[in-house]
Amino acid sequence: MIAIYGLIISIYGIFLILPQQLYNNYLSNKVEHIRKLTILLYVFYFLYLCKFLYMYNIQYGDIYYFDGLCKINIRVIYIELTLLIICLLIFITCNMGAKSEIYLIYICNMIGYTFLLNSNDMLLIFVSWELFNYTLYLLTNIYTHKQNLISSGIKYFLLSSFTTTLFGAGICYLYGITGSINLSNIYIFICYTLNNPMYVYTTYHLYACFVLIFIGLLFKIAISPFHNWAPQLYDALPTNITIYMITIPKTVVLSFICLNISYIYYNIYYVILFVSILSIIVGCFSLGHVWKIKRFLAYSSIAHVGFILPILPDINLYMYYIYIYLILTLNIFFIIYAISPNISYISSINGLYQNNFVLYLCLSFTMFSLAGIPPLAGFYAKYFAIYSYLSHYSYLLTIVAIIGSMVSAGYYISIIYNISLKKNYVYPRYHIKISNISSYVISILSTINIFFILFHDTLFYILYIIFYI
Amino acid sequence: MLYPLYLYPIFSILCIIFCTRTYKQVLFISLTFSIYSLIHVYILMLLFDHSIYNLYQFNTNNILGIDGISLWFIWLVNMLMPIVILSSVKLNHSKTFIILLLSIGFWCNSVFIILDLLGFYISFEGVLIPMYLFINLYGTRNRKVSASYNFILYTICGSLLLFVTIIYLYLLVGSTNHSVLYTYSYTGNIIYYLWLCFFICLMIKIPMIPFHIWLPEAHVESPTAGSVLLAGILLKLGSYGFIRYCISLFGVCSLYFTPLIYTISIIGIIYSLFACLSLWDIKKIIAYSSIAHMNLAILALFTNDIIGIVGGIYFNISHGLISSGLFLLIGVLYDRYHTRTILYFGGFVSIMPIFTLIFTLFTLGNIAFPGSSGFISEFLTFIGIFKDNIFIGLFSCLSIILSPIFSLWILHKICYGNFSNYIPKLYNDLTVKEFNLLFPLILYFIFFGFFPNIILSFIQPCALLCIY
Repeated sequence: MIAIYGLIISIYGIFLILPQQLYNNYLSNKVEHIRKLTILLYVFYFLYLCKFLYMYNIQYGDIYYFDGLCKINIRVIYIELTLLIICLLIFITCNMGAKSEIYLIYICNMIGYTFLLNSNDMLLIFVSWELFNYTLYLLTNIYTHKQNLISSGIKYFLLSSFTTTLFGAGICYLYGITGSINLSNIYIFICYTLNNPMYVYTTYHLYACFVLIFIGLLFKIAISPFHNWAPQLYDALPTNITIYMITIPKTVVLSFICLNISYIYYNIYYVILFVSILSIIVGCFSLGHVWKIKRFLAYSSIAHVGFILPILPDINLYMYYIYIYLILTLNIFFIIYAISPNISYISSINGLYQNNFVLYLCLSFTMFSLAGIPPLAGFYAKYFAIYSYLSHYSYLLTIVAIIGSMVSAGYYISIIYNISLKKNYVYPRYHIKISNISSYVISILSTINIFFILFHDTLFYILYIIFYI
Repeated sequence: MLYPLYLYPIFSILCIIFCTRTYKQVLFISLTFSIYSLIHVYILMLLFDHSIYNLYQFNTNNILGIDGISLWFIWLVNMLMPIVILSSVKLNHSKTFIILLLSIGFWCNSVFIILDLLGFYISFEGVLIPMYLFINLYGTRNRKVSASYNFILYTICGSLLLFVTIIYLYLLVGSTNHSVLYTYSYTGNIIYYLWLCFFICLMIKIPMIPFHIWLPEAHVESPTAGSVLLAGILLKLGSYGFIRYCISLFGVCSLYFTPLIYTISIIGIIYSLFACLSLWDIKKIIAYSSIAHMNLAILALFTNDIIGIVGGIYFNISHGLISSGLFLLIGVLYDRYHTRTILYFGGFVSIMPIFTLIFTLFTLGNIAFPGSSGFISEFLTFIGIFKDNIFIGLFSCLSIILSPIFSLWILHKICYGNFSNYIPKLYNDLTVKEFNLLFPLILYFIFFGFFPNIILSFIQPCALLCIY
């Protein structure tokens, strides 16, 4: 696997280094060519991963270890396939602009999260975490034409590197306690010592180091005490990078927590509860004070992560929620991107009803879905989340989630009001035309959203088979 | 037997989307399918066996099924659908208008058919989206923004409580199926809270007094078809929920909370009838009067007496006929003069004699004149209430005095007296289409005023279950 990555990257790098004059003879547009090549690469990798699905031994949830460093598991493969599909959708729908290096960064990022999800060794986890982070820093700082962008990018870089040191400290601490960097050995150690009256101090030390690790991880998904970077950064970035930043890192980190360290979850459940309640409150109540559409979606994503975080130990419920979240978020962002790549204010999509009726219906149904109105997809996500809270007897969280979704429903519906009735002064009244590919993507995602009631149980059953058994 | 009731609206929506070009074709297809579905309901009535105490007939996989109560509610929905579609003939709206109407009908059918609590919740809420878009896109004034906003927010906030309750019940019982929920014996204090959650969600839909603001607003701002659907069907979802879940499932709590319900409904009746006396907008007046009548019906449902409960259910059906007719009549006036303020109207008997006749009939129905179905329902209701509590009965009797006052006042102001100076004196009576819309409603409410046993024989065996 590693050899294949190396080969791909080196070929790709050589291709990038070639001077511009050489291209002009064969191809008129270098960036467009590289985009197509990247899509092809992702498709090949997708097919390569699909090969694993047919391996008899990997099914039924067995875990395979390579040298103790890497493991491979049917769950990880499905999560990686999901991530690849999201990346492909983003690359197909959004044109990434003039910089061709950005695709190399995306590929490096892909390698980073692949190793993060596959690794069974704390050191490898840390190294791949760093690779994952560096590429995200590069991604956020590659465009420097706005002062807002530079400041938020630097802020993200500094804060993220600080929390990464905490993550590293947590790993060192864990090594100090357990004497091992192998996840399997650590798991055995923890099973033996945690809540064992003979090892009271060790238990406390373990709590401390897992809190340190969780700080490093939760920073990346913009959970509430560490959320301040997110709205500013998402707002300042170009829309195509925002789509990547709002979907991929969240999915990766949540899946990593879910797969590797969710066994510690119920021991530090109060920390998780505190964090998720805080982020539901922050996410839902800040929606009303926002004028910019990407900031709005950033707060909405903070609230959603608050909803997801307590259900992480139930892997099939978590996957169910994250699929719906990804569908809705991608749909909204693709619609916004299709209207105009440079959109920033909510008022600039006012009166979409007059401009493009079908696009208006898609956007309003997605907003209804985020508000959690029943026949749509968002309702089922909320249903299973609250089902999980109640089955773990966390009533406070349930109450907060209900109040939060009441409040946020009002703000989501106010967006529908804006796009249906208000007058638009930014764009005059003309028919918005969108490209073929984005119209296909938007219509597929909207169809899934609207007719979710027809296959919600099928999806649940499939996820149960894949992830739970 | 019950699946076609789901399939007719879906077929018609698909046909409208893919096979039609002109608005005439759209109307033809939607009317045809809605009339098919009405005929289907009549066939169900013929096959329905109301002599035995066999609940939930036409049971398919324990998911779909109807008893006598829901049969008549389904009849109400399917009877109103062709009328509503026909009432929007002249407006030349787009396909979306008809599709939204049909999807409202779809979810309303689904509420009464389904035997699953979660399914009930989903279809109960599914009405929200088409209705919101309906008010938002086809409303007449700028006030529609706050009206639709109020409508959707009140309902969401209430129904999220119901949502938690459903999940809690699922964790407690292990199923959300109707028949399984009935067999479980609920104990402990928690059921009182569960009942309260149910009650708050459903009382918003009725609407009862602290949460009634959305209804007059939504009525006033939505087009005629929307207000007919609101008054005729959507308010009945709440009382159906009361009959099915609050009263039958948690009988103890209903008995425990009866004073609360009595107080709220009495306040609602008196307050809304006084509000009727002080308003100028006819639609708003009818909306407030429908709040009063629905509250009276709820009062009867919680009397824990067979006559009262049957009267309450009968009240719902009769109110669905009469108030939707009144809203159609107001729609007729609005189409002609583009105003709903009473001050501009007067002396219409000289230019609209048939309108005056029909308006008088419906007003008499609204004030429960003997011979209309309103009389039967109020008669049964008051018997039930007086049997349970004379004091409450005396208070609720105020509605017998107050509702004629405002109804006759409106009738007099619009139809009789001096002719209004603001309106051209041209003969402008009901067209054939409008008469045909209103004729079935008149027929039904007078017919059921003389032969109430047709409905009561269906309702009575099922209503026995509601007694604790």
